[in-house]
Amino acid sequence: MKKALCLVLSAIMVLSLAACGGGQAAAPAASEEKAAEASSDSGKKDYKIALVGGETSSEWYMRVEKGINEYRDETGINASFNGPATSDPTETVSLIKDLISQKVDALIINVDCQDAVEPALKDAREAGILVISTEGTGMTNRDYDVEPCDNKYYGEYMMQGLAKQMGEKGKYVVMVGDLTSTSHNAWADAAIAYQKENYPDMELIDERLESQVNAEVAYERAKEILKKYPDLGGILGCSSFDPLGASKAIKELGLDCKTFGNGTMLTDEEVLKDGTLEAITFWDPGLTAKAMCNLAVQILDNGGKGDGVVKEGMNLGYEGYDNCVVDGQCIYGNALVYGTVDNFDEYPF
Amino acid sequence: MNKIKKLISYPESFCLLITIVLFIVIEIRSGQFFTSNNLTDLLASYTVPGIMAMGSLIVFISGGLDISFPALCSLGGFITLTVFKNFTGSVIFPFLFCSLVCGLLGMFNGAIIAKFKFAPLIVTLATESLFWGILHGILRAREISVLPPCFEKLQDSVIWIATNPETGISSRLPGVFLIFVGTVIVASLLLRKTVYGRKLFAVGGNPSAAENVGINVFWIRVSAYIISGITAGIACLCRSCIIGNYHPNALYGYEYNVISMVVLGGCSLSGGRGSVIGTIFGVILIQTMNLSLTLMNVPTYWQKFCTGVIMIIGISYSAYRTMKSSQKLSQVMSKSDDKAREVK
Repeated sequence: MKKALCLVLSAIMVLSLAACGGGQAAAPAASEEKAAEASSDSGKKDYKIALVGGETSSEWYMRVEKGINEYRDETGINASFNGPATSDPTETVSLIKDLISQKVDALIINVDCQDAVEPALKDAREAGILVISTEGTGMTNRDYDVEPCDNKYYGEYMMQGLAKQMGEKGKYVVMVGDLTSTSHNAWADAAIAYQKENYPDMELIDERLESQVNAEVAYERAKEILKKYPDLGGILGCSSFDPLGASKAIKELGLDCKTFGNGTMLTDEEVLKDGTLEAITFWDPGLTAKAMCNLAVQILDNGGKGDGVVKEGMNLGYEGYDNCVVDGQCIYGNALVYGTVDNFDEYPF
Repeated sequence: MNKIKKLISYPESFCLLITIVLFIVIEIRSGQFFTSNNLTDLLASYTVPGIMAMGSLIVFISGGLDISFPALCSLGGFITLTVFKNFTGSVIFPFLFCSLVCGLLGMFNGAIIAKFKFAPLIVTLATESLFWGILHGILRAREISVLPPCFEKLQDSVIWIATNPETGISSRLPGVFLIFVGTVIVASLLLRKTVYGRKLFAVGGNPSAAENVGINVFWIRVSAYIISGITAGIACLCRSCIIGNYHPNALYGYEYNVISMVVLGGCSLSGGRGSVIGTIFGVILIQTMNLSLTLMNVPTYWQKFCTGVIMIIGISYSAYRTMKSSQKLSQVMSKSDDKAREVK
C-alpha cells in the first residue's frame, strides 16, 4: 500500500511537472511557427529572446508578459516571458540557468533580486548570450541596461510630486521595498538630495522604512511612524505597494498626511477612487520590455556587438524610448506616467 | 513561595515575563506604548497570526507539524474569493465555504501523514509546494484588490475606535477581531473541557499507549490537520478583510512566524504539551516586537537582528526547561531501576 501510494505520488509529481513544462513550451512553439512565417516574409533572423521577470502573480509582471506577447505577435520574433512563482531568488536563478542551457540568443532581466542573479548572468555571458537588464543600473554582469528614466530623475520626479502635495513644507519619510534594492534606494537618495537642495522647509525624519514589497507591512510601518510623528506631512513610497499601505494607514488614523510614489492603478484602485491617494507615478513595464527586445534585435542584427548601435539619441521604437540618453552601458528613456483617477482606464495593470 | 516557584516553572510564565519586560522597554523608549490607540493597533494585529496559531497549536499537541498552512489558505482563500466574486448574501457563506475547502486540503495532509506515518515535515513541505503550484500554475492566481460585495459590512465593522487625546490619532479595532476571540474560546474549550481534547494530548504524548486504550489515533491525527486547515482559511479571509486586498504571495513565509509564536508559548515540538494561554503570550510577544521596533527608534537595518536575539532567548529557555525536566525524569527512572535491582 505504502509503495503504491509512493508510486502514485511520484506519478502525480512527474505529470504535474510535465503539465507545467507543457504550458510554457506550448506558447513558444506556437510563436516559432509565426516566427518562421515572419522570417520568410521579411527575411529576419529567427532570434530566441527570453525575458526573466519577477513573480508571475503580480500585475506588474503580468503587464511585462503582455508586452512580450504583443511584441512577439507584432514582430514574429520568438520572445518569451519566464517568471518564478514566488519572489524567492533561488527560483529565479534556476530559471536563468535553464534558459542558458536552452541556448537563447538574448536574455532580458527584469527582476527584484539583482545581486542574486549576477553569478548566473556571468555564466550566460560566458556562453555568448547577450544580456540586457532593466532596473539594474548597479549590475555588472550584463551588456546593456535600459531604464524608463534615470534613477536620479525618478527620485526627483517623486519628490517634486510629494512636495507639491505637501505645499513644500513639513516632515516626511521615505519607504523602500527592500533595504537592499538598488533602484529603490537610488530613487530615495536622489529624492532626499533634491529636497535638501530645493525645499528647505521640508524635513526628512528617521531612517528609511522597509515595506518588504507587501501592502500589509507598508500599512503597519506607516501606522507606526504616524503614531510616533502625528504631524508627519508626507510619505514617499518607492515599492509599488507603499502608497496603498500608507494611504490605508492615513485614512484609518484620520490624519492629514500625503502619499506619493511608485504604484499601479489596479493595486491602488480603491484609495485613488475614494480620494485618499491623489496620484501615483509609474512607467509601463510592458513598453520597457518591448523596447529591450527591440534593442536586443538591433544588437543581434549587428553581429552581437553594441558598438555603433548604442549611441546618444538612439531610437528603440516605442513611445518614451525614441530619443534615449546613453551613459556608459546604460540607456535611459523618458517614459514616466502621472497616474490619477482621470487616466485610470488607460493603464489597466 | 512554593506556589510562586511552581508558577515560574511553567514555560508560559517565561514568555509572559519577556513580554512584560518588552512592554516596559518600549514604554520607556517611546512613551507611547500604553496609549489607547497603540494598544488597539496591537490587538488588531494579533488577529491573523493568532487564529493561525490556534490551529498550529492543535497540530503540535497531536504530535504533528504543519508548515503548509500559508499555502493551503492562500489557495483556499483564492478559490473562495473567486467563487463568491459577485455574491451579495451573508458573509457567513464564504467563511463556511473557505473552511470546507481548507478543511479538505488539511484532511489531505493529515491522511497522508497518519496513514503512512511519513514525517510530517516532509509531507507538509511537499504539499506546501503542491498548493503554491496549484495556486500559481493551474489557477494563475492574481491580486484581488476589490473584495466581493458580501464582505463590505464585515470590512467596515468596528468594535471600537480609540483616539489618543494628545496626538489626535485614532485607531480602530476591526470586527474580525471577534473571530480571533471566538477561535481562542473554542480552542481552549476543545482542549480543556472535551474528551476529544484529552485524546489529542494522549495521542501526542504517547501514541502507542493511546492506541492501547482504544483511541482512534488515525482520526485524531487527521482531525488536527483538518482544524489547522480551517483556522488558516478563516485567518486568510480575515487578513483580506483587514487590508482590503488579497495577494497570492502575501502569506508567503508566514509559517515561520506562527510556528515560532507557538513554540515560544511553551508548546512541545514532540507533541503532548502546549496551552492556548501560552500560545497567546507567544503571539503577543512576537507581534508586539515586530510592530514596536520603529516606535523604539531601532533603525530598520537592525530590526531583524533584534527579533533574532529575542527569539533565541525565548526558545533557548524553553529548551533548557525541557532538558531539565527530562533529566529529572531520567534520574527518577534510574533510581527506581536501582531500587528494583536491590529488591531482586
